[in-house]
Amino acid sequence: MQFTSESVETLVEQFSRLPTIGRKTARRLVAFVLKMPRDQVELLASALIAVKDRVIHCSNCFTVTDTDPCPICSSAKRDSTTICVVEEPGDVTAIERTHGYNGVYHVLGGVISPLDGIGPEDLRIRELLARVQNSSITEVILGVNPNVEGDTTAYYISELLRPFDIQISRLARGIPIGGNLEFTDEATLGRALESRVAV
Amino acid sequence: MVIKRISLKQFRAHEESVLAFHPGLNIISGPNGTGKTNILEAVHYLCLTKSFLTSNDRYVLRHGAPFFEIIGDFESSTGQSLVVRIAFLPGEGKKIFVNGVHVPRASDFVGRIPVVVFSPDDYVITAGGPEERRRFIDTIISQSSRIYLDDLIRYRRTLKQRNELLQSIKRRRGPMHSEQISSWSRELVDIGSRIIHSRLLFIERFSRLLDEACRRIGSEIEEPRIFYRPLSGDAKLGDVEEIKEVFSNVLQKCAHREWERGLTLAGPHRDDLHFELDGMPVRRFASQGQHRTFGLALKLAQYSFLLETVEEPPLLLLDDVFDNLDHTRIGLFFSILHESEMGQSLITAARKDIFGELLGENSDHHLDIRETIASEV
Repeated sequence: MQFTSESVETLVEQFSRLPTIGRKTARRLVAFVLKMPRDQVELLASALIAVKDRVIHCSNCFTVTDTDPCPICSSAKRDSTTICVVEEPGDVTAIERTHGYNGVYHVLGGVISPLDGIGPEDLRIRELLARVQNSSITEVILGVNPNVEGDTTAYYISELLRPFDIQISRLARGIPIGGNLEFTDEATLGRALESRVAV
Repeated sequence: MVIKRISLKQFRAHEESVLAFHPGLNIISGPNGTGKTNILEAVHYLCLTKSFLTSNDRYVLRHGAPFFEIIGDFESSTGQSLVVRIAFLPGEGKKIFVNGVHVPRASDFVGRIPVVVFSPDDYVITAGGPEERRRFIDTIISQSSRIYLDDLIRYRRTLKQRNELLQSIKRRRGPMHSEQISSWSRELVDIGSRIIHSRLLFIERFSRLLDEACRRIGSEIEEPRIFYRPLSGDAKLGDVEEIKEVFSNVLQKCAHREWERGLTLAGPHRDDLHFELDGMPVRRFASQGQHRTFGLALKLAQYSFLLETVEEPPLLLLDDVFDNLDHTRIGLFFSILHESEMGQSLITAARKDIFGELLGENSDHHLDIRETIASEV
């Protein structure tokens, strides 16, 4: 087999390094890029460079931002006495999309996982404690994922926060809104039954 | 549940085979090495997404083949049809399709088609190590409770994480990280206590069924008893909260040894079941024959338990179990399989003549594996 264009192969190679992109998809993307007008390709390329050059971590909550502190931390409209602790910057976006939360965030950068060599010292837990210590925080919401690593990280943090006189809560787990009981898997349904609420 | 038809591609000895089954008794006979057991193994795959002989999907792939595929047509007792397809590609893993729809997690499917396997190895349940007994009850409870299966998966993950942490402390001879360990302990205790609680409830129901099963096979076994003493204690444990308290205390007591050995030393993963026969522990005092009879009784009790819980007659897979039984036992066992509450059974045997006149002219279905495969493909 002979390649007719080394540049095409290089780009295929680069695309297929991205998550969820296989070689087939990479080829389709390259074929599409070849047909795109040059100015659009330039926009794409400069957007890629810009996220690397301009995006930084907020020094307060550690989410990704172009300005430090981030727009959420610097907004006067947000309730800075409530912190929602999440694993990754993507989780901030997810909660923001609900338009139902008016507090601020704290991004841990992962969860405790000895199998991946991640201990509490690799996460931004010390920084969270400093925030609770130095500003008037009244509630911490632990918005970690409901798996064993998330559970353990939540326990670990809640133990460290215990000495402070603040409210600590965890996101409820259960049936998705708009979901159908019939089509909810038994494990989720079972847990939802366990943590049922009075009406 | 009844399997009406199965098709195998590149599965073990089968390059391409299609077989149709009778809703009652099916005898699959043929010389050794023609793939009789493989058919039961394939049916087991369709029920529980794995083999009962190996835990590695690669081993069941026909030598040199790029993939294997099994398709089964099932029908429930209410007449609903269920087409299950499992395809395996090395590197890409196993994919499960139910009525044409991809099921991403095996745990979402397990339990829909209850199954019980009788095999010559069943004596290890009473004669082998504690892990055999744990596997035996875990398989039954998982088939009847999705929450239990979910808890088991989460427990294994927590255990792995906690052991890794203990190991890394040991390796580096570093600080004890006691806050982190106690966070993992709490998760371990939360999930583990639910598992112990489910097992205790299960044993309560299962002992009655075991008693019944022993009587049905007319065995010499008198008063079989089964005990589960979790957390190696004698304490009578009640609800989950009580178990949690005991579990945490036990963990605290062995904390020092855990640090030394870098291993989680207490929990449902180390518990054992105890079988007794007329007051004597089966594991040490039973004869080989008694172990076999006990194994048979345990499987029959498993059948009754699943029938009661899932409310769908489980499939019975009997792999070469008749070779080691005398003629009276074979007759007795056959009459049990013919009882109305028993569902479909697939039986392998090297020679069908061991069944003698037990095989009726019309009621039973006999598949000679060489003829079947030759004629139906």
